[in-house]
Amino acid sequence: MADADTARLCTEIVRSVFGPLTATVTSIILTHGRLGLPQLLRFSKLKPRTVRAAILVLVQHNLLWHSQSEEEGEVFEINIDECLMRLRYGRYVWLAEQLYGKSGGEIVQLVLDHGKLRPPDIVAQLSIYDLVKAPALLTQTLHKLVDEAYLKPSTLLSHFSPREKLIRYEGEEKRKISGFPTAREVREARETAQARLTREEEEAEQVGMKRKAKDHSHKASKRKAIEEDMEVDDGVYFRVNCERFNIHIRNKLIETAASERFNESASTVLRATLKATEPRQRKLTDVRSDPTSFANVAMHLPDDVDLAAGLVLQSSKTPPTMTLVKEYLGILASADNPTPAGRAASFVSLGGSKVQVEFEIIARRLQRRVLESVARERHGHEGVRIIRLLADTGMMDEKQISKIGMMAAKDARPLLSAMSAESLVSLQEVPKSADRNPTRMFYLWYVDLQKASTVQLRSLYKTLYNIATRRQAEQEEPNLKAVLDKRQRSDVSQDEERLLTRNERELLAQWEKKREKLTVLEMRVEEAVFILRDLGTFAINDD
Amino acid sequence: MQPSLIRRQLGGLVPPKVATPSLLSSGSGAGLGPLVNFYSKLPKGAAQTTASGGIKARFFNGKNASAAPLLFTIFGIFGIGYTIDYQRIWTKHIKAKTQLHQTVVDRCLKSLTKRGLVKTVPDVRHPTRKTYILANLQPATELTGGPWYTDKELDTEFIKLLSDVCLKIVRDRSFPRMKGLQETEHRPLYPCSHTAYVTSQQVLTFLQKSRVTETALTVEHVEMLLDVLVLDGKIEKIPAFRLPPWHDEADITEASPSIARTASKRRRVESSSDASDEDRRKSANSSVRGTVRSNRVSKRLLSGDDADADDDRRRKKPKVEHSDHSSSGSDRASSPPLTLLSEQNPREDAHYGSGVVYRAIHEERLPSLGISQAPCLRCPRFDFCSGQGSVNPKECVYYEPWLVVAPVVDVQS
Repeated sequence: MADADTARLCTEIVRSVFGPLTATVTSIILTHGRLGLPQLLRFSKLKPRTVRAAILVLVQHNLLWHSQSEEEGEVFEINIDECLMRLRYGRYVWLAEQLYGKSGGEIVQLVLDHGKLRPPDIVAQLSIYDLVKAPALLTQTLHKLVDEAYLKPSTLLSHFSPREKLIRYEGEEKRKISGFPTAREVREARETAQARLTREEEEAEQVGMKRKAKDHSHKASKRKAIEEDMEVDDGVYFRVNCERFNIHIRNKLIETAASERFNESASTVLRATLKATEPRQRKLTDVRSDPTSFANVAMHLPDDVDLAAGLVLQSSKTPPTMTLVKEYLGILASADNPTPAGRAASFVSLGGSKVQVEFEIIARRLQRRVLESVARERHGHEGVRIIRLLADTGMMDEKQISKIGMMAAKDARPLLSAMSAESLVSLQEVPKSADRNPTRMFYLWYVDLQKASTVQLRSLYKTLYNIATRRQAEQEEPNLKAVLDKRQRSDVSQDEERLLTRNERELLAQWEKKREKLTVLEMRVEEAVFILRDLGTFAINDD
Repeated sequence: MQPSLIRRQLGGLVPPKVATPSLLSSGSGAGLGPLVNFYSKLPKGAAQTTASGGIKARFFNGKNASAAPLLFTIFGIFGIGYTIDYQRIWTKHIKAKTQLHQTVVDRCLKSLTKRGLVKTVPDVRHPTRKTYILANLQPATELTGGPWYTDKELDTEFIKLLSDVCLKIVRDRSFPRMKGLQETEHRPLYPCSHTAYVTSQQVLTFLQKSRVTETALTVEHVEMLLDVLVLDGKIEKIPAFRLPPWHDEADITEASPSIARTASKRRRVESSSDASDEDRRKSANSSVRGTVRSNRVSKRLLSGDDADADDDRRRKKPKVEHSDHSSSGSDRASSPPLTLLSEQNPREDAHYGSGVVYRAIHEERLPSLGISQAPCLRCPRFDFCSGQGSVNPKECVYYEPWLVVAPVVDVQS
């Protein structure tokens, strides 16, 4: 179930990729939550063949869930998260290229284009131009991608609506409770159901790799290490594992935050620390990374980096790298500030001789920064001061706010009411007397992070929708449309220089620039959405 | 009319036993003596006009109409005013103390102000009250709000000016000064063991030396400013007494030759330190026992930059403990800083036990660089805008100039 803004955004995304017919189907299903086929036909007023084709397309691209309900038969539901991930697909392709080279990028792009594919099809499609070397390279890269969980197998289970299953499992657990259920038992039932669901999903996804037929002839029996030969199962359909790519996005955000806060060298050290534990980072909801030693971090540093430039130490000779690394990690861990405030501002935590990156602390801090930046845009630096004050110190009266923040009461009051209209701050009323007389009540302001994040997320979705609509509108401007159509012609597409007039070329250039700007803006807003939604350690559920 | 009624009424005029019929109508005049006495004692002359109309008539009507009681009230208020010790007095309190009616008090105060004997002063804490003070006295500074208020209003420009100066002072000491280009490229940092950050007392001294303003400021005012800067995210507050968790044991053994130097430094430094600093740290809830000793230790640490001990700075902490070892024979100073880090003491004041220093930080504004460029974020019609209405993104007037004007800014640089 999505609210109006999210629904519109999803529809817009689907429309820009799949066309208006699929978009109509999407919007209808989103408005009604979930629908069976006959009702879908009735609401959409489209031909059955069209609707069925649209549903197939959505299923192929992992955007649609089935579930079986008693009253309605088979019903369809839209997977909103997957839909919103589509905004990041460009970034995923770029990341794959960075990590695994050109072939990696191509594979990921192909899989994203088709939704899900089998390995032979992937190899066949991509080696059209180069039939000799390409298959081997592609198979190798594919193996690596599946091994590192960048591609995951698409199971039958993933097409069933998880919410439906969760409700069912929870119902089963609750039936086991005899007598009146206490709150704790209810919660336990829900957790058990959730765990069962996760376990089933993980088991289903083990399908991807299968053991290669072992050739025992040339394996020496004296060999101690037995190598597991796994290869990619050819019959399984693979799709992109967005979570793994999201981890890379998150790590990049953390590095940028460190470089802003400290300097480049500190961010280099942090990047090395993240790289050292990267293979084991699988989920975004990890509270902190695995512990690694200083030596491991130093190993992952790039060779040509100059760490000493960013630090001013007493001794004139260049200290060894380990000392520098230790110093930087000490700075990043706020080792000189053991107060709670210092710990909340740290990036890593040091324990013994091991270092761990504190994801939850960083995520919470980034969330606060997003909210503060929104407040800064709309309400100025005084608004930011109020928000930081309230977030640090809980609930406060208006008089205390104006006293500690050193601003006049007549400034603070309109700011507070404007910010509460956007749910950035909230009000708590404490009555002084038994009857709730408004003149005799304390009004305490506080910042509720979860509520503020949710409201801002909605407005960011709306912003994304606005940007997408604007881009579409710019494209459909009559003059430009004519030029674009002309460009599509086969003769013009070969030779743009001569067959297009200067005006037309200028118009095209302008439009290209506008499109670039809008796309870049969309990416940046999407990053903010990432911080608020995917890094939100408290789950912002629509349930 | 009833005769008994008259008798009873008139009976009170003359006391009994003075004019009984038997006495009066007795032969000799002896019985009339008491009666004559009685009548001679009665007041003579015309009857007095009765006190009518209450208080006003008491003062202003009748024969004895004079302002003398009024003047008495005035002096009474004076006296109360002097006893309130340079504080203002609220009209409600005047009314309570003198037990006079509101109108009397108001009129007195009006005439007093007209004569220029008292004046009305605004109170910043309660702006709707009418408060008075004697004309020749200046109200206490805490009532005028201190240096932040001019004429009842918070002087925001003054505050901003002062806080900018404070920020510059803190910033100068928090980032190392390198030659030109290197600083902007690399933004070098001090390591954890660096100690020469400013305290609020030092900021105050700098402020006074720089003569930015003539108003007298105290450490509390400076601390208020610094707290606001912390709130803005420009500086951070760290405890003054701390160690990196891996400080080398080797440093301590190098300490012995330089004990003599520390002794001389201690003498030099103590003469330049402030008494209020010590008092404040003494009163702070410190986890270090023996506050005087720790004060000297921490003062030496903090004012280490006064001396020329650049090379000794990193060794100063273990050296200091070593000298404390030798001087006091107890390991008071060495154990607390390590415990500050290793045990995570839940009480926050124990962390700030031996004082607080301030350090400037680069602000972390990462995500804002992106979304702050969206026109939608600042749009006043954001809520009203929708796909179908009259205000929609296709024809948005805020996007038009934005699309044309600004080039795509690279924010990752």
